[in-house]
Amino acid sequence: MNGKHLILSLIVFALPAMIFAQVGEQEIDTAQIIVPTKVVVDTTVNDADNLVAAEGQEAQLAYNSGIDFFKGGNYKQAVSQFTTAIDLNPDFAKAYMNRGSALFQMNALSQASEDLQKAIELNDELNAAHYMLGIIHMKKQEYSEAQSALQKAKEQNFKNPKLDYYLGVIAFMNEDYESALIAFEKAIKANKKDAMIYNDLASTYRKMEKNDMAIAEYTKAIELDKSNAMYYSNRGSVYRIQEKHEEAIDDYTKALEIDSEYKLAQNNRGVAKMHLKQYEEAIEDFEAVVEVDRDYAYAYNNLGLVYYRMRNYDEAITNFTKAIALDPSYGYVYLHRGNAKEMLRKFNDACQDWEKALELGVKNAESYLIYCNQED
Amino acid sequence: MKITKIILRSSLLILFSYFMIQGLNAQVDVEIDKKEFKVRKNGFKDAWKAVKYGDDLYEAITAGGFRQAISFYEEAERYNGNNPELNYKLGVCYLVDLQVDKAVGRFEKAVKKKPGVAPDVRYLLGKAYHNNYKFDKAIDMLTEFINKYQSSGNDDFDKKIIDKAKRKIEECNSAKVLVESPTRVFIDNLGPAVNTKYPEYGPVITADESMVVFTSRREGTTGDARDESDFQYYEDLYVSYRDDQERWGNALNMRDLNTDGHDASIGLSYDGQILYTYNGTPTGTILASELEGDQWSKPKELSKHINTKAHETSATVSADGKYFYFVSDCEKDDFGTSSYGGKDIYFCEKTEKGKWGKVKNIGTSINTQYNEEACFIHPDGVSMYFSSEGFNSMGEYDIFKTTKDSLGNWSDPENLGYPVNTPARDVFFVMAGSGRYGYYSTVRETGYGGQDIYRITFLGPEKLMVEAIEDNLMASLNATISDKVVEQEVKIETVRLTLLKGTVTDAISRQPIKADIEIVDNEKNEIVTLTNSNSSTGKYMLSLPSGKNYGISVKAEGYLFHSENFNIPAATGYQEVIKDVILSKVGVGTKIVLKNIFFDYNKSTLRSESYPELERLRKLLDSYSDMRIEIGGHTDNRGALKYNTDLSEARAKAVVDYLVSAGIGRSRLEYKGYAYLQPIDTNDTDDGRQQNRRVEFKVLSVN
Repeated sequence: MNGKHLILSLIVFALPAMIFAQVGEQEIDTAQIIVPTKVVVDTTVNDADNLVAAEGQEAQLAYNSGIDFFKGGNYKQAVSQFTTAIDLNPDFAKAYMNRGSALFQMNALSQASEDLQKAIELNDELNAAHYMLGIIHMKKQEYSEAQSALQKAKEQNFKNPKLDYYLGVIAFMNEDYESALIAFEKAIKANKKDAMIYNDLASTYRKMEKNDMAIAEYTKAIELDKSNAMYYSNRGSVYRIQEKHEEAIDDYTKALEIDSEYKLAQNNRGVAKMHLKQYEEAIEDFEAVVEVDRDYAYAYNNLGLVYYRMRNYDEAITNFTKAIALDPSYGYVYLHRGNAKEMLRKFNDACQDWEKALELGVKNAESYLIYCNQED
Repeated sequence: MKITKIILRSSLLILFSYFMIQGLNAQVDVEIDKKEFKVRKNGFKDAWKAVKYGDDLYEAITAGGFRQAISFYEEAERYNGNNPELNYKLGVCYLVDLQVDKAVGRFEKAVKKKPGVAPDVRYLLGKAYHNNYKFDKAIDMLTEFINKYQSSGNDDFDKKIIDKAKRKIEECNSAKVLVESPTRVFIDNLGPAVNTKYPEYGPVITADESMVVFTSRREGTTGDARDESDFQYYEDLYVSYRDDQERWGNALNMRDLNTDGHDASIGLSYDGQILYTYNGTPTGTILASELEGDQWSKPKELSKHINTKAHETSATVSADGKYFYFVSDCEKDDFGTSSYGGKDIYFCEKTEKGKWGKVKNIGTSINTQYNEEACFIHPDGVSMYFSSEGFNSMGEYDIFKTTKDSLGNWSDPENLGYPVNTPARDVFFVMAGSGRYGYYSTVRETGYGGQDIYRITFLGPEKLMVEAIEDNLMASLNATISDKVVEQEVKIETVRLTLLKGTVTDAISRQPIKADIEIVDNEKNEIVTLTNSNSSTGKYMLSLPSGKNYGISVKAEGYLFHSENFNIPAATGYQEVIKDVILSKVGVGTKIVLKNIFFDYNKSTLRSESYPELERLRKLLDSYSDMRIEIGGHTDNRGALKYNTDLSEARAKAVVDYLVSAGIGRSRLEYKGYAYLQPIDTNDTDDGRQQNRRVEFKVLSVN
């Protein structure tokens, strides 16, 4: 065969290779939704018996090469190829989209975002681009934008079992708990074994103050994945809200057995112990937290509270002061420090702290100032 | 059982001791058997003598007797510490003397040695446990006592002690609740300038806490004698003053008031000008003494329908002088209402003729089937503090607070809580004008001996403390989320009262003047109160509850009156305002600002709140029938000169027209509009401009 055009349709369906983007402690699965497809390229055989692109299709060739690199996990090369394709064809929407996708994998979120937006500009029907853009916004805690993008992907019938889930997360972060509930319940129908979704559903119930239901869903998450400290810790927090401090402590302890440096669980366990008047043990927990994270102002605040309840007001003040040094905008700590100073009869100093607390938005501080002009 | 007649003694402290002794059921006679007491020959003779001396004192059934008996019984105890009757009697003595630890030990020993040592030993042990804060043990012991005693007989005497035991159990249960949630207070001893190793009690204070009068039974008492009933020095009145550094000065004996007998303080007007004292002989009587200059007048008994043949033991007058509250154990009030039980709180209202009207029981929202005592009405006129053995007292008398609403109904009394209240008797509580500091007498470890006077700082309810908690609520996000803090409103109680105080002096000599001070509610055109400044110091003090527009006039013979206005919004919290008043003699050229003349905005129409001031001006002109005056109108500097001149002149004319219509001859009056040409303050601030907007009158001629 010579001089004849061979049409190669190279349609490769990307296997659902798991390409992850690391997001905090969990992973957002983006790969399942991206189906990089090669484009059809007309080829011919040159004198060297090599396949060459037909005239005017260099962009497509570069694009397909980019796809190969992408699937092989070589995102840098993929970006380069997609760039070539774009240079050759500046209106190549899919090239923008997949370059954006590759940049996303490289955690170059701003550049990825630009590319995806360009892709959408060229072709608003690219539902995958809307989806990915939504994920990026979510990562950047731009929840309104995330919601718009994901909603658009959904309207364009983008199929991904996690889409409803992410919509639920965004609704939650926007404090629209009713919508979050609906979205998570849909997501569960598609992902009955995904512990993460049960956790987030439980958190939604918690925010809606349906604590028994929250406990039930956290328990399901735990049953599906006993290795996740977060689920235990979250359930523990609902027990704490219900004032079932013993149960809360048990769950926090389990979380810490899984992850001994999980400061949130440790801090919260200290608070539960404080409620049971186990003050020495609470102090141990808070001190362990600051061993892990010296800059965790919350732990110093809580240490201050324990010492206050033990009537050791000097020590309480020392810890509140540390919390303030770490976070000078932490209004409640000024309030607490003022309360401790009052107990040491340092009324003028207490008044100063309450004034600062009021300045920082703690409304209750205003009523504490009533006697401030009259004290000794 | 041997019944011993109990003789009422005359001191206020002894009076309380009497009721406590009565509560001991001291009619029970327990004899120490000589043969059983003797355990060895050596030392027996002296020990038995000590027992007999102790018994003589014990059988007097007086606080002093019990106290004195202790040392003799202790001597006997060193010989034989196991005698159950001796332990019982020593327990009784310790209990009366408030040495509760020791009382518990002795009663426990007595019961162990001889369960039937006395029919009331379990009751007394229960009482001692209660006083020692061992409430569960007290409840158990008292229950055991009730069960045992109930089966032993059924006469009236038995019923009384059973009722007492049941009541004691209620007190224990109340105590448990109150101790579990203590009131946030500081309790501070007033220090050695006031307190001594002898008893000090019955503090009464001025509203601004500048002075405290109290009772003490210390060495150096007038007459230098001791009361035979308890071997303590007779009561005397003492006074201490607080300086600018908030330190109490050395207590001074009030020699012009004290007698050789008992003299006790039971009430003081909020401005410190009238002192109420108690005379226990022959029955409790309330006397009043007025401060004239720097001398107190001879105490005079209040009228017979207040001082009845029963005992009156406490007195307090509202700041507006309209209500007199006191305690009595009389059987009925002037309206025929019977006492609700024991001592009750009564009140009477001042008549138009300035006398105290009929006595009325204050009612069952305050009075109970038990005793009430030591009432004190706060200068705000609506808060009353008193002691009661009823309600949820945690033991004997507790201090309560109640508030009167606009219809005159008293709220459910609120226990001031532990540690202000204790299982022992807590009485003689007074509150400063601020509502933040109270004074009372109690026995505490930080004392100098016996009862001492303490100042309580009320810190209010527990303050908001917010735990710092967060969680990873969304598994796919790194964000931590905290629960929103919902700030519950913390009810900080504050007194809505202004204490206005200062001195009245002569403009030229700067000498103090005794002046009449009239406070008027401008809106209602009603006199709120009449008082005067002290002739010796010129000092005055006025209590002005928030929510009114007050006109205050200060007058003295031969002087132009001084006018002040205090418009105090209802939400205004406690404040002390110092205003020194300088009075000018009537003379040509002297002028005063009429601060209680009000006009509608931008108009010259006099508002009705001006009438009290205009009436004062009319009276002045009547007093000086030849006086001619000029009424001057003044404005601030906003607006054109012509406009302000016209307005100020119209306003001045309005005042003149009123005076003419009130009968003042037209020829005596001139008026002029000065616009903003004679400011007395800056026009750059709101306050300054307000001062400049005024009406003045100037004396043109006197005769």
